[in-house]
Amino acid sequence: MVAFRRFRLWLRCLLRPGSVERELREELLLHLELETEKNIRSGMTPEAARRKAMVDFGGVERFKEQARDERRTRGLEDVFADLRNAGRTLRRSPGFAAVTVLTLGLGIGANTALFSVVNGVLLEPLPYHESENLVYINTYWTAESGFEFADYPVGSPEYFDYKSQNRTMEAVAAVSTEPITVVDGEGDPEVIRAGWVSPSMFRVLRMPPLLGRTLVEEDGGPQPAQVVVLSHGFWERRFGGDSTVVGRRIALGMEVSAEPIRAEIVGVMPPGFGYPDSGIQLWGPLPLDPARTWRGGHWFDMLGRLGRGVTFEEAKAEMAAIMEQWAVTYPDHHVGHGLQMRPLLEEEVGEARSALLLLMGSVVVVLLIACANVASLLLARGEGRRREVAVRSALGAGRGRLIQHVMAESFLLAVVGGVLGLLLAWLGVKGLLLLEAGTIPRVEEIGLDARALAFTGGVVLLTTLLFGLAPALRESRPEAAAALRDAGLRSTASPGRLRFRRGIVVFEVALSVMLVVAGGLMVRSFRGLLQEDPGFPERELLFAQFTLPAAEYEPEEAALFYDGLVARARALPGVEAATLMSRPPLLWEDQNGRFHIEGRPAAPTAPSCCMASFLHVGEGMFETLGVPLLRGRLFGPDDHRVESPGVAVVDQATAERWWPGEDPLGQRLNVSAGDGPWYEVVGVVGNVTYDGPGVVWPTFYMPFAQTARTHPFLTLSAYLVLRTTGDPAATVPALRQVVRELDPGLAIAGTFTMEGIMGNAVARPRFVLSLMGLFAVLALALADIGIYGVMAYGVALQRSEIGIRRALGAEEWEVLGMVLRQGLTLAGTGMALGLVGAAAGTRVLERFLHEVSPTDPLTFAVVAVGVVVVALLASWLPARRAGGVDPLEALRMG
Amino acid sequence: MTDHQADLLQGTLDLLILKTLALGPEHGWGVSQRIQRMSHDVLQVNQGSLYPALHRLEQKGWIEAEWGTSENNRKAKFYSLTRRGRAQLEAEQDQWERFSAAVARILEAAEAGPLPETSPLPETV
Repeated sequence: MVAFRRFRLWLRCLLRPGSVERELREELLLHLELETEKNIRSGMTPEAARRKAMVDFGGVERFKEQARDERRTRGLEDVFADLRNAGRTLRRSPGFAAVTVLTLGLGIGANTALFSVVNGVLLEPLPYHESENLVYINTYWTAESGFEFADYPVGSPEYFDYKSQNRTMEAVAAVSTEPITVVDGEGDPEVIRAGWVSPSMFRVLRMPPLLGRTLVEEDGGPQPAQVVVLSHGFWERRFGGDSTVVGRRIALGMEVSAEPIRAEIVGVMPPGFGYPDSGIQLWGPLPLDPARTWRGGHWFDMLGRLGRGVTFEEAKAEMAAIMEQWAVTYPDHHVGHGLQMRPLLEEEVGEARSALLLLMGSVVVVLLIACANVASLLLARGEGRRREVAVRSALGAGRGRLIQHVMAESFLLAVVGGVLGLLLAWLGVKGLLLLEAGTIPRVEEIGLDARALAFTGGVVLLTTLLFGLAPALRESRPEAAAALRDAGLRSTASPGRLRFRRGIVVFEVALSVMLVVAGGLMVRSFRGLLQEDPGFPERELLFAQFTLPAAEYEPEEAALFYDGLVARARALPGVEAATLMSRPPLLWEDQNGRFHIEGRPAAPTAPSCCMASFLHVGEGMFETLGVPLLRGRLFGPDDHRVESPGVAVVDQATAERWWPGEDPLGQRLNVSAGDGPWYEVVGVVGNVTYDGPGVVWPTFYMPFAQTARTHPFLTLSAYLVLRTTGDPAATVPALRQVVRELDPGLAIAGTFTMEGIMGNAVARPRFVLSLMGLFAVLALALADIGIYGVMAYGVALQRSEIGIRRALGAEEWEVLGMVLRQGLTLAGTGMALGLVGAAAGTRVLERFLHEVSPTDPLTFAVVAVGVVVVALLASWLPARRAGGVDPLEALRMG
Repeated sequence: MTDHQADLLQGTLDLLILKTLALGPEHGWGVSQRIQRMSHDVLQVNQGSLYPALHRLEQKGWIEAEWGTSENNRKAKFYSLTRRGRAQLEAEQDQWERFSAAVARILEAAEAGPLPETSPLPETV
């Protein structure tokens, strides 16, 4: 009963504080009235009686306050009251509130968004069972081998040897991909990418099927079974998700198989599974023959799962030991060449790692600046509240109570800023995914990360509370009552605090200068990248990819098909020229080709001597693309015949690298490991950057028709090149019609405009640049706010000093100049520190920069000027205010 | 006021309020008057601390409040003792008696001669 009554009382105090207050007031008024009446009865005049009653009671408000203190709900009531009060005071200073909340929101949002991406890509484990035990294996060639390739595919003898010799792997698998033409199922014929793998891949990845079965050991071997497993996406798209599809047969048109394949569908994989990437539509068994001992061919990658209890280092050490053994057993092949492994996650993330870490570093700097800004703003706010706090203290507010009161505002700011941050983070992740344009692997793992939000939110909110607390602690000291006396005066204690705030601003400016310099360098580098000449005019070019099924096209038939295709394409409206080539510029990176020059000593590990890419081209390729002839001649019509003598055209890079100081014309080379036909060099052409903007790698060209003699299967796959008079993409429908007429069962594997290819080639630098630029702008804006804040505060403090100066005859412009000078000193100090820091720190950018030095003087100079301008802008308003100080008023107030 | 009025000892106010209310419900001013009257004007309640004390006791559930009409026909908040308050009063009264007896013994001993072995004072009530 008592407990219930007490609870009712507590609830009433909490929910209806107004009525409780009213009752308190009524009770006290009654008391005073009765006391007054008593005094009158004892013979006083009514006025004297009332006065005495008041005096006897003491301060009414003070005792009301004490009575309130006795209530149990006091704490909660106060919190609500403080929050309401904080909300009111913040509404009265919307500028401060908006800037603080925005700073908090941007800091939390940007960091959480980027960290969510970094976490999803770099830290989140791969979606496989015990994925930390998965390793990726390929081969290396060091200078010792006569070649230099950091990453090279694996050959089957290497696969079988390692499989039988290692003791550290639970299982290994071979993985390659093939383009395959599919006609069955719903929709037009299409060319898909298939995984051609050893059945052990499913065991290594430990991935069970959704329907049917995966590939099993018996499916593999030199003559593998004609079975396939479908990806979930392919099954839904092509077969409408029909579960009776298992057991049916599907025709596969493959460039590498001269026999028609009608493979049985044995299973369907669950959604989300895709190895080596999510674009793979189905998997079939890769033919692997242990009897094949020729070690010169390399065409797949490997995957392995570490045995139970084996560490990556142990497996790596064992592999190194096996390689030493191979170097002894096969001195012709394995000197400076062998298998290498790395964790699968590292392989999947690849080069995106360094870009993401760079961005992460930048955004952490933004976070630091945001924290510094919030600290500076709150300290200034604390200064402004000195008088108020002193008054409250004098009226009897306890220290804890004062701290709580001041902190309510910080808390409110932190909460609103935090909510804004959450919103911005959510938008930020979406924005990043739009912006990344395929340059980040594993995007499907990316989502707003709760831990990231908790961390950055925690950092920023802690800053808010900490720097809200510092002034609260200081002002609530007992001697702060003294502040009441001099609060109206030119606050004598403040220069020290102003110095601290100036320090913060200098720090902010320095950090933002470093980011802006980094951003500026990226801009310069990116501009350079865009201006990089690919070696031919890139406008109005279309590439269409074809891959003919070997089962349907003999090499001669393929040649006929392509002849017809080129002839009909040439006749299409809007097409100026048409030809064939085996690889378009900039579409993918491939610097793995090897060839031999007649008369040269072969490399220690292979019958060839040299490294270069080589392309097969159709008639008029150089003219169509616009590659200039430098010496000798181009291919003539006679060269594009199977029986004509072998000829090659080399580019300038090949000439300079492999015939330095010699004339390549008349020299002979071959690409078939020494025993194939020789090709005589008849011309030298300009360089084309096939591997990336500005990347020149030795390249030479041979006619398609002549390739058919040694590599018939190479003629099945080609890119049709069209130079158009208008928008190249506009010719695609007409081109499809041409293909349908030539072979209704054939699909164009892909179409690319040169401009699209070039856009993709710079997508990652563009992504990094956009974010760095955004962070730099953000940092500069925050630092600008910081400068403004400290300058405005300084002017407010110096009001009476300025008044005296004005009274003594200083002109408005002199005062203006004084304040601007102070602002510039601040910015200048920060800038000097920032530039020194940037000079030391931008080295980490080196690998992201294209032909720009990390200490590029132009960038540094532009940033310096820019920061001065920004500092002037930030100081302008406070300076104007200082210039407008009325001397009389300022002195009176002082 | 007058010289012979003593300040209330810290903590004894609660006891006096409880005791006063044991005589019947009363409003704040009435409580202060009763204490003054019963102590023959020796004890003067610091009126400012009276109300916080009343609210404190109400929060503790020892007294309860009810709105009624005062002698001058005004709405007044009357406080009365709860059952728990009555038990508390007995406990506090008992403690107070032991405390004052102890103080008295010390004072008598001090007049009679040297102090006996000191023992700490019981905790204040």
